[in-house]
Amino acid sequence: MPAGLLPDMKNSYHLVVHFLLIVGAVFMLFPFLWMITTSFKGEDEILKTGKEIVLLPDAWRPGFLNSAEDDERIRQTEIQRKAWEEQAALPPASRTKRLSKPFSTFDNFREVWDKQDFYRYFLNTLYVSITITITSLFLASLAAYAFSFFKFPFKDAIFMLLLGTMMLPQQALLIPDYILLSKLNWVNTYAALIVPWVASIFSVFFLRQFFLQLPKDLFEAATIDGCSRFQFYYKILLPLSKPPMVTLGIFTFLGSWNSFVWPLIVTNDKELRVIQVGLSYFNSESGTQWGPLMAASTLTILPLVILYFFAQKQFVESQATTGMKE
Amino acid sequence: MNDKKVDWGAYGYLFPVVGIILCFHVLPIFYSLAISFYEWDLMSDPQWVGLDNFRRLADDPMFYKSLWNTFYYAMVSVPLSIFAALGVAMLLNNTISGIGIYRTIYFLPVITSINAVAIVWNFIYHPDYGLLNKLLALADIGPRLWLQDPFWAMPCIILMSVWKGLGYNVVIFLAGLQNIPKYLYEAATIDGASRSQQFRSITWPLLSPTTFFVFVMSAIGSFQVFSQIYMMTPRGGPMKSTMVIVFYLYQKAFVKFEFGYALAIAFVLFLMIFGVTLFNKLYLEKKVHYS
Amino acid sequence: MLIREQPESAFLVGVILLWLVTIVEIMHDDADKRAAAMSGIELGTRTEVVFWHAMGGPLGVVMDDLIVRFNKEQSKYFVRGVGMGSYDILDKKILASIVAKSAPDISQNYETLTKKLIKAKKIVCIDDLLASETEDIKADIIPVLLRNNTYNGRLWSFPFNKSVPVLYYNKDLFRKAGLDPEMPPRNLDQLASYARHITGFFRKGNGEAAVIGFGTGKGNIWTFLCRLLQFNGKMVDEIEKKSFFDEEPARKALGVILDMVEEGIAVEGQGFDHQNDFKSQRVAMIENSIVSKVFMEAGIKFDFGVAPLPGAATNAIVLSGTNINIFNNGNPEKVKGAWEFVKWFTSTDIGAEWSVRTTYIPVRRSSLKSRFFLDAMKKDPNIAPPYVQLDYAYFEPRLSCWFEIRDLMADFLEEASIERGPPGKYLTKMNQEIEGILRHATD
Repeated sequence: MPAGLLPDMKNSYHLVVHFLLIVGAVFMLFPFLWMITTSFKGEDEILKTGKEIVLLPDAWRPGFLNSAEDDERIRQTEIQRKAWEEQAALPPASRTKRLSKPFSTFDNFREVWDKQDFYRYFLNTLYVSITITITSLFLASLAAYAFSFFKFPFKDAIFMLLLGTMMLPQQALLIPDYILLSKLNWVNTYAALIVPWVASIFSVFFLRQFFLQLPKDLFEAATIDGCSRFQFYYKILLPLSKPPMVTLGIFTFLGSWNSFVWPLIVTNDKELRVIQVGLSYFNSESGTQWGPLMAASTLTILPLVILYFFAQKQFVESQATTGMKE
Repeated sequence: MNDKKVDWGAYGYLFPVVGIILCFHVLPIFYSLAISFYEWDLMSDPQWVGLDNFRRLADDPMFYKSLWNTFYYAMVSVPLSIFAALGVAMLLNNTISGIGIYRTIYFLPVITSINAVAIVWNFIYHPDYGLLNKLLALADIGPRLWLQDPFWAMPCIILMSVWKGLGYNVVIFLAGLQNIPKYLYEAATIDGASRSQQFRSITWPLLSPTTFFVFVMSAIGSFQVFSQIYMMTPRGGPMKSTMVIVFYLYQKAFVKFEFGYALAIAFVLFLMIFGVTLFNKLYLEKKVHYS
Repeated sequence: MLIREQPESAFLVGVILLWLVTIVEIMHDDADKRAAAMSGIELGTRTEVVFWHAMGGPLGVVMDDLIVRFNKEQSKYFVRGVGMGSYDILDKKILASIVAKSAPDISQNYETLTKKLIKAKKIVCIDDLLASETEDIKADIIPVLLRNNTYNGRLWSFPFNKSVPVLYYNKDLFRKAGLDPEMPPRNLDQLASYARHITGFFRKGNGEAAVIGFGTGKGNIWTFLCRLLQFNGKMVDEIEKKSFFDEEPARKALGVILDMVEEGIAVEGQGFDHQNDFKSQRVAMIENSIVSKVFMEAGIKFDFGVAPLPGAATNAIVLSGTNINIFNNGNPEKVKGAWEFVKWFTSTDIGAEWSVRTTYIPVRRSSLKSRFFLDAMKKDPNIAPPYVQLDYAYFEPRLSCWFEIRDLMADFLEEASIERGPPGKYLTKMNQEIEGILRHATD
């Protein structure tokens, strides 16, 4: 804050700053709010072409906020619900009308979780993301360990070459990788989702930079004492590396959870789909069921948001540091 | 350090990572260059066509349209992202209370999945039930078709992309701003410089390494935009107004199964990105102020 | 104690536990799904026949049901049906499977993929299988379906799930507007006048239309082609490499809908919007696939009718849907099993049941006269109307570049919908580009 401004101008200046930031924050958050509230609405609430903007679902809205149209719709839904309950109470043989069950709050989520297999997509994504995260951290730390502490021919050349691969365009890789997977008969397997991603140059780079900052005599002192190379890695290096590992872990998990194009290409079966692919198929197969779509979207980002609120600092740092590669 | 001893075991530690990278990330590049000289649909045998794929590409109006659309996307979304993020970062740079909360909120869209977000924005843009038209109706502005309108489809996607990536750039700009020594501003104020003068002579030049970085990363990313197009305008948009290069590549490869042709497109894309990076390194970076 | 000292280790342990639980759950889920697929039948010495299809939702339920019945009725073969979710995925999977040499035994495909498979010699010629049949099956197959599967004089694929377009109309709204609910419009002129009447009748005091007479999808090529044929037009001449989308019949076909939209008595929606509009009674009549009846029925709360698509100078419709290919994977037992299943599935009675439950056209003429079918027609009068259209059913050109042409057509028709200019403006250019594609095509 540039010094030299008069005290009362400072306050009103701050007010303006806050006001602008709050407007921006609303713009940032509103789509999420809209998504969540829509996921609790029934189809007739969503498919209204009227002028009014209704945020809250009928079930949550206090009565005084209702418009005439809302009241009418709520009344109609009550009538339908009573009719359905009447029919449901009769034994199936003596039912006179075939009515559809009226909407209840969690219906969209139930539809998505049970009928649209999101439970399975969730499991798949969890499995794949955790496997990739743990394995890639392990392999990357091994490689970074070698690059930082060992002496061997071509060390720098190999490292530079690996760094260079980060510049290659992903799109050019999709096709030959797909062909390779076809020949390996790995199309539509968990292997295809996991194996290509357990080698992360970025993690290697990140960890190497971290290892290089550790005191150099640490390694010497340990090996002189008779510590084997692997013991040093396991007993000393890893415990010291908790901060970057946590950051990398979050970053890798996030990337894997959100990964879309690769799983889209290499898997087809419902049983193999990860959540992003499942979401995109759900989107194209039921393009107009907005309620379930919003519920599916909510479920897709929910774990990330929860993780985010627990580890904000690491998230922001991890994303910012991935940026500062220069 | 014992210089004479060579740790051959190092190769063992490196093997998994290097092996997988070679297998899935390096060798395929050469393979893909080779396939672009063939016509192949995976079922029959590949047929040698030499440079035909590239000749076809040079004559392909849809290819040029996708190039144009990609440039349109890049040339609007990148400056927009930069200025919006810079603005927010400058607001946050005042030592106000609640900076942590603001940062958390602005960063939230960044970590959420692009697919989920695309679906929500799809709904917001819906001509009949969407929020945007309802908001405009409050101001008596008539409804528009948004994603179904050839003129508005790309701007809609740009807006959504800027919204999603804003927080990321804000964080980077904020770090850059906080690296500028405060005494420079104090000295300038004492000398009587106005705020816009201070911006032009202190902030902008000293921020240029950060701005350059954000610009290059955003530009390269914008050439590769795909997920939003796939989720929001699955056929390439009204009159193909959102058909971008990577989407065209995807269609040719995984919808029409013309792998050779698709790889020719990939090759051209790679050259474009390489060219832009080169241009930035050689030309633009000269203008960057390193203290 | 340990957890407090080493929160990261505890977290790691927690993550690994979660991972293990996930794996167990996945295996559990897989086992459940496998058991469900076997539906209580022991594989034993049966030959397994793998069938990849794209029947999902309520259609998938019927498909699964019939597969289980087949497996229970005989003991030589076990058909394993795998639902792929959509034709796109199915195509991709088939491609990948051929490369990996793990192709299925039966699949359903569009004609363009069938042609590719014939060329790559991956499928069995059905004529060869028919040769050893005692019954003259071909004589019983609906002629247009037979023609659709014949390439160069030989039958290479077998009819499976073809659908027809129909007109859905809201009988309640008809009654309210004073129209006879049993007399839906029979031709395009009547369609327009009905739509005009309905839109006018329900117009609100402020001039806003509460109900629109007619709705269809934007860039709907299917019904455009139907109307083209109804105005006595032609599509393409494969040999001369000419197309006829700029002639008078095509202009009329496009113009009739554009005029209705311009007048405000019809509306063109994106994707499934017109279906939603019909369900919410905002639109009184829509043209759609007969198959959508299965998907819409549950959500429709009013009395509705199904009618043949309104004609013009003549009646004509185009078929949509796919056919069956039997793969040649080098195992004659599996080919036999596949053929047994296909025969059973399309036989008179089973075919009638499939047709009634899914609204797809039955393959055999005898199915249309079977007891099952006639009973069903008595119970639901909406079943009969689609089938009268079989007398004047055609199919789209089976060129390998046809999907590319279709994509092009969709763009131009969409552009026409948005701009609502004179039909000629779009059709001229469209025709030129289509002929360009035809010239480069090899088959």
